[in-house]
Order: sequence, then structure tokens, then C-alpha cells
Amino acid sequence: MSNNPWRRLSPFAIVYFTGRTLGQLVGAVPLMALGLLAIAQSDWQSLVIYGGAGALLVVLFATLFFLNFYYVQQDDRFLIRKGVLSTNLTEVPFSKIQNLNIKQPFYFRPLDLVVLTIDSAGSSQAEVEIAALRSADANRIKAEVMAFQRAAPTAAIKVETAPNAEMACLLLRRSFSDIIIHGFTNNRAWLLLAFLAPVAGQLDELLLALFARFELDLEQWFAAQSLLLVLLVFVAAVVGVFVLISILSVLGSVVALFHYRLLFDKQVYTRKSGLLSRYEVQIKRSRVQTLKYMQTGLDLLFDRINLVLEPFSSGSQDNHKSRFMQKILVPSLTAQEAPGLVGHIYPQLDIKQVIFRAISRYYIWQKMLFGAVPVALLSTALVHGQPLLQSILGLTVFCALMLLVWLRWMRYGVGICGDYIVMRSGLLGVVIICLPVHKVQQVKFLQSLFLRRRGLASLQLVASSRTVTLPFIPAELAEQLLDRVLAEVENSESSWM
Amino acid sequence: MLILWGNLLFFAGTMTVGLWWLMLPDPSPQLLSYSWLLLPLWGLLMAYLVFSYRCIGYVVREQDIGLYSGVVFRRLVVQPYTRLQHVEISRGPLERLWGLATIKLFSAGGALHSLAVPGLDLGTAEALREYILRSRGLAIEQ
Repeated sequence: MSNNPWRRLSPFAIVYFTGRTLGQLVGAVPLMALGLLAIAQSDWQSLVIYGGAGALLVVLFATLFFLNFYYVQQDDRFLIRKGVLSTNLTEVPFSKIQNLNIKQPFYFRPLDLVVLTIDSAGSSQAEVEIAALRSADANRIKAEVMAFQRAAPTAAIKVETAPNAEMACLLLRRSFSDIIIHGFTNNRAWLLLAFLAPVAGQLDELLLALFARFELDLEQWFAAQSLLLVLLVFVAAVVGVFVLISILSVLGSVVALFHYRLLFDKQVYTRKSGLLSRYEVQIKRSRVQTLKYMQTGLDLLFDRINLVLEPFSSGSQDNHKSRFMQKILVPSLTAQEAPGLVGHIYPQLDIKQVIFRAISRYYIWQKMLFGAVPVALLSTALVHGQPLLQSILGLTVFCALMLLVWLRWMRYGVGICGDYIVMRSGLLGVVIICLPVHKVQQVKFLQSLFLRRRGLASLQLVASSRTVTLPFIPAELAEQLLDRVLAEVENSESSWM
Repeated sequence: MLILWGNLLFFAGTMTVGLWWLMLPDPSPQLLSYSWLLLPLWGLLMAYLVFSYRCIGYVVREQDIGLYSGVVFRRLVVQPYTRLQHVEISRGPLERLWGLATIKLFSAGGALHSLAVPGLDLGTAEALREYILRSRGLAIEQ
């Protein structure tokens, strides 16, 4: 064991920590800014002062974090000491590392610095980020860790037999039009939406305040116009919002997925993309836990498929972006490209041959009794004391909910193809999860008294990337699957990692 | 299968304290007129707690461990030993008082899916832990 000294990060890491905290705070900024605007009438000075003070605090915290961050790379592990108020020492053995991702925020590009993200399995769940490394250093570290993992398989890892010498190859690219289609069909504007959610509640008050400022009296104006005009305005507003979100989503997609390339080298999938900041995500083939095959409603129109390679996901991630960075998303594949790629990742799985069984119709009854009916009844409470309106409202809500329930029931399907459990779900779109049986971590067999009476049960297969739930399937099938999965997990030699 | 009377008493104690505490501060006349409801409600809650704890059971097999629980919504959680990341024995203050322990098993499925067998005798818990750690094909590094 070499006695390397503890090292500090480069001071540029302060920039990264600042950027990271600001990114986390972005949700609060619109709220604060708009709030200040509405309350303090035209007080730009105080806004600037508060904003400046806030930014200064963030930079201060980032500096403190940087000063307290030490790391050292030993022969078989990383040791990291970090924390401002309470320092904690994290040990990351190379053998437990699941993913090593390198990303380059745009402000690091001119200096060619990167951030190395280390994800590991095990009881210490958090992912570790080593910021502001020179890109050559980061690549070297990555190569060293991977060489270590190849050279010293532990008892838990099966020795991999390389069938034919696979050379680094470019599996696929995504063109600009593919990326735009993806932005349109998949909502990548969720980032902004998620940030706007806390503001949404105050949005109407805000709007009123804004209108008051500009001396518009909405109520009078609406009363003065005909109902038709009001409806038209409403429809135009909704369409406007939709168009706006679509544009934002396409922008988000372009920023994250520009110049998308999927590579395969020595059993490792690498995705490279990014317009401003360049992102790279790597997942070893054996580390892919589940595969998500997904089409939103709009994807169905364009006949495009998205695949997501999901590795082990560490505990709770507080923002969408870090979750996005741990998986490999392959956007907007055509119907010809998708099965080929699925076959590349899971060689024995032919997704076109999978036969899906429907789940029990009891699902519809249960959702109706415990979901649609109570909600419909509650909704009638909104319109007080007008029995006709109440019953119409209740009935409409009930029918709408039941339609959704029925659509969802139609989508549900359970399929077993060799060693893979394939679960289909969705509402308007389709989501198919492929789970190799030996990747299961834990099994849950759920059977309420209601299900028992009908000979049904729900089975939950817990994998390290997600939990796959097979709801309302026949109890014998659930028991068979339970036994089969446990037998495979306990007796087969293949490692889940 | 041993059920935890200790934990049961603990929960009963907490509920009682909680309820009486709620009643103390604001003896407004309206609240007092509803207070007679509390006794049967509390009784029902106690009955449910007793019943639910009678419905917990665990089974130790050669290669996995299973835990049954639930009154109406019965569930069985099976954790194979080969997928364990680590095993923990935890004892709260009341558990320490009554010589009990809870054994917690963590897999890579995340903290949400950890299996916890509560209310075991301390000796049983430790023996179980030893048994699991000595199990063949374990993924835990010693």
C-alpha cells in the first residue's frame, strides 16, 4: 500500500462548487426574484443587493468546502475527506466502483479541466465528485481504476471471457433532427418546470399583482367581453404555454444531447454529448442493471424509441440532472435501430418476440373503488349546493379517471423471455423494463386479503437501479416466479455487478 | 416465531402519552365534549397494534431470509444472502432495556428496501448475524 500524501483540489474547484450550488438554488431564484418584484414596487437596488449578498455567501461556502476537501489515490482505493461543519472520511475501494463519469462544464472548457464522478455500490451511498482535475489526469485515473478491475476480479465478479476482440467502435450517432424530435416528444423542459413548481402556487397572485401594476383590471375586462372571446383567449393561452414548453424542451434536448455519440470499447458503453458543457457517461455492459425501452405518446406518432441503460443508482439523488447523468439515454431511435441495440446489450433478448400477458381486470375494479369513486365524490364538494352541477361534475371526473385507468390497464403486460423479465406499462406512451433475473437484489410478494380471495398477487423485484412491480398477476405465476428468481439469484455464479 | 411484546408496549406507551398530551393544553368546552370519542378510538388502535404485531414472522433458510408482515396487506420480503451488502444489529433504548435487538439487512436495492427483523432476542440476533456472515457465496467483504 503506497503512502501517498493527501492532496488538495485545484483552486478552480471553487468555481465548480459555486456553479453546483447555484444550480441547486436555481429553483429558489425565480421565486425570490419574482417575489421581490411583486412586493417591493420598483426597488431594483435592493434586489441587486440581496442577489449580490446571496452570491457572495455561495462563493464563500464553496471556498470553505474547497479548503476542507482532501483526497488521495492509493493502490486499490480512494480516500476522500470532505465537509465544512462535520468532516467525514469516505473510502471507495476500486472493486466497488460502478461508474466513473467525466464531465466538463462549459466554464472549464478553456482550461481543459474536468470533473470526475465516482459511483460505487455498498453502504456508503453518496457519489463522490473530484473537481477541477486536468483532463489528462482524469483519464489516467479512470484507466488505472479500470485496469485494476480487469486485473483483479474478486470472488463476486465472474471472469469475463471476451468472445471476439471487440475494438472501440462507434455504435451510433444522433443527428440534429433526431435530437430536435427527441426534445419535442420527450419533455426535457422538466428542469424548468420542476423549478417553477413552487412558484406556480403564487403565480396567480403574482399575475394579479403584475396586472395591478400596469393598471389592468382583469375582472372587469372579462365581464365586458363575450364568453366566446374569453374562451378563445383561454385556448390561446394554453396553446401558447404548450408551444413555449416545447421550445424550451427542444432547447434543453439540444443543450444536453448535441453531437450525440454512443461508443462501445472493451465491454464499456460510452455516451458523449453536450453543446455548452461536454458530458461523458460510461457504463460497463455487465453493470447495466435494467434496460428501459420507452416511447411517449408523441414518440408513437413519430415512431421513435428511447432506450435507457440503467446502472446501479446510488440512494437519493436530489436533482434530476444527477440522475440524468448516471444513465445512458439513447434518444429517438428508429424502429429498425432499436431491436438491434437491445440485442447488443442483452444478447439473449429479442424484444420483438416477447409475448405479454395482461394483468387481471381486478386492477380496474380496485382503482375504481379506491381511486376514481372517492376522487369523483370529493370533486363534487367543489361545487356546493347545486345538485345538477355537482352530479355532472362528479360523473365527468369519474369517467375521465376511469378512461385513464382503462388505458393504463391496457398497457400493462408481463413477459418472460429466457432469463429476462420484461414488464410493460404506460398510459398514452409505452414503457418496457427489461430485467435480467440474476440482477435481482430482493423479492417482495404482496398479497392483500382482497387479492388472496381472487387468487392474485403482486410481485416486486428489487434491482439496484429500480424496482419492477408485477401487479395483480395470478398467484401461481407469482409464486413460480418468486421461486425461479430466488433459485437463479442464489445458485447461479453470475454476478449482478 | 418470537414477536416483540417489548416494541408493542413501547408503541402503546407512545400513543397513550401522545393522546393525553394532546388533551391537556387546551380544555375548550367543544374539545372536551368530543373527548369521550378518544377512549374507544385509542382502544381500537391498541387492538390493531397488538394484532399487527402478532402478524409478523420471519423464516431463516439456507440461502435467504424471509419476513412476513401486514394485517390486511400481507407481504413477504425475501432477501438472498448473496445480495447482501452489509448486516447491522441496532438496538433502541427500549430494546436495550428489555434485551432485544433488531437485525437490519442491506442490499444494493437501496435504503428503502432494507429488511429489518425487529424484536429479536439479542442472542438470537447475534447468532443469526453470524450464520449469515458465514454463509457460502456471500458478497460482503469481511
